[in-house]
Amino acid sequence: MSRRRVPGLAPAGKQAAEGQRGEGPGSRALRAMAAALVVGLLWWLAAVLVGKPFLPPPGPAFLRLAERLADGSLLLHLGASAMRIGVALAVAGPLAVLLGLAAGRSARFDALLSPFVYLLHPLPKVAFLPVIMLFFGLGDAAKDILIGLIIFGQILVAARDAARAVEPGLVDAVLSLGASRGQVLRHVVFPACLPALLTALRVGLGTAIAVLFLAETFATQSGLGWYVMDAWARVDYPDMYAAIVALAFFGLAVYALIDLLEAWLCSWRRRD
Amino acid sequence: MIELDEVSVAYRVRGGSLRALEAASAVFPAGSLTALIGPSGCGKTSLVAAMAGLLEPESGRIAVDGVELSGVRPRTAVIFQDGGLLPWKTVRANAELPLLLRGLPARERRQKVDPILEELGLLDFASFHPARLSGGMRQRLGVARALACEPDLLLMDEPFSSLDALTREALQDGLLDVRRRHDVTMILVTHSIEEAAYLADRVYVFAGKAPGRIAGLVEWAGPGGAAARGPGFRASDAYFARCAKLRSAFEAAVAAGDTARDTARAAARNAAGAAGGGA
Repeated sequence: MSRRRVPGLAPAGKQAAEGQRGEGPGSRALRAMAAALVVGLLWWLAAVLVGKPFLPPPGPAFLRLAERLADGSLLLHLGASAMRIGVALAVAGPLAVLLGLAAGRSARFDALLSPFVYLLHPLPKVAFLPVIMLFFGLGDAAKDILIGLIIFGQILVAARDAARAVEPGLVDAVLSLGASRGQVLRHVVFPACLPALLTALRVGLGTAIAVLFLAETFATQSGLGWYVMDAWARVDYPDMYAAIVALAFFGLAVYALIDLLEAWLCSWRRRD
Repeated sequence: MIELDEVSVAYRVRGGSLRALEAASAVFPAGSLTALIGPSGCGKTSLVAAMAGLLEPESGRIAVDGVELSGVRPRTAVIFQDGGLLPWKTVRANAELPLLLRGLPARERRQKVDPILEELGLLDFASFHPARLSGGMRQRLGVARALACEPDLLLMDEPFSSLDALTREALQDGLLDVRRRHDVTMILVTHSIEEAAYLADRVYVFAGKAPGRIAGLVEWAGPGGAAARGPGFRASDAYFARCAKLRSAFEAAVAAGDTARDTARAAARNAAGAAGGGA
């Protein structure tokens, strides 16, 4: 096979496509594992150099992680965190997609919605944590709402912009076949926006996990965020790191899930 | 038969409207293949959009078989320059789309579409996505999707203009084949004199720009009827005579358009001068 003589000149998207063709998801998992190994090595090196109890080497942390997973206690907290994100996504996601696509395709609706988006979207939602807790209590509802707001804004803006950018020629072509507005939305606008929606989901969930940590340090006794803070208070550093590692794997699993979703839903983008 | 009666098309633009086509009257007999030829900006594409029912004329009327057009018509099919194919649907799903939109069940869709894909040499690629097709295959898929509508009127907006010469000629011959097998009135927008001379029975020549207008109709007598045309026709004297006739009509229309524009500008200048003198 011929190789490019001048690497780096191909557009990034094309290189990515070639990468997908040459290597399956298996090799990507392999590379993720290699990266994890490097991070672990750096961690171990830092632990040895620092030599303090608040930075134990990976060994004890992973050992504790295995113990806590085996006795189910960490799983409980992992489940609580996943549940909060899941509930927030299930409520905010579809609503944001619907409103965003509508705004992208209807100038009138956009004129109604966009001022609010411009006003509210740039605000850091975390700042509202106290307000939300005052309104909705200290329970899970407040945490779900905070995370939901973050996912909602992220997906809404992405959906609107993607729906606006749908090629008019495609819409005309399908309209010329006698499609209704709903059919255009279903067969043209939604699939055209799907890649952008999944990217927004990736970004949104990344932020959501970060904020989840903060939200779980208040008024709860479940979730990985609480677990980290609790271990810190107990001066049980291996336990603390075990929860941090669990949080990292949780994020990784979420990203992997979105990747799988994309491979399944957007298979038409691969050129092989 | 399609009749255009003083059809004007205008687009809404920032702060007003832009007229693309001015008072176009034309007749397209049933079963004919008529080309619309003219420079870019002359309103050909706008006229196709209007005949497809996608764009409401500003004034005038369009009638298909005596019935005034009021929107998209099920038996009118359109083939766009870039094919208008959905990248996320396979070849088969793209071709089946018009039937899917009409609510036909999967089995029936397949029964109707597979022979069409076969006819156009696409059946082996039925599970491919458009990104994997060559430009020529993509346009053939556009034709397949149009045929799935079982059209009696086929509108084509520069369907072959983005293809290389050999592929274009192959597809032009393919279109003549389709025409022999299906009873369809065809209207072909093109900016190529050669394409119009090869494919069409009659040609409307457009001139002007925003608004454009129909400057004249060229029809040919003599050999070169639809049945006689084939690869050999491209080298025949009849074909060259057609090209020459069309070229002179085209050039005359452009020249007349220029004169009209200059006259209008001169008149505007005079009017401005007179107004200035008055003040």
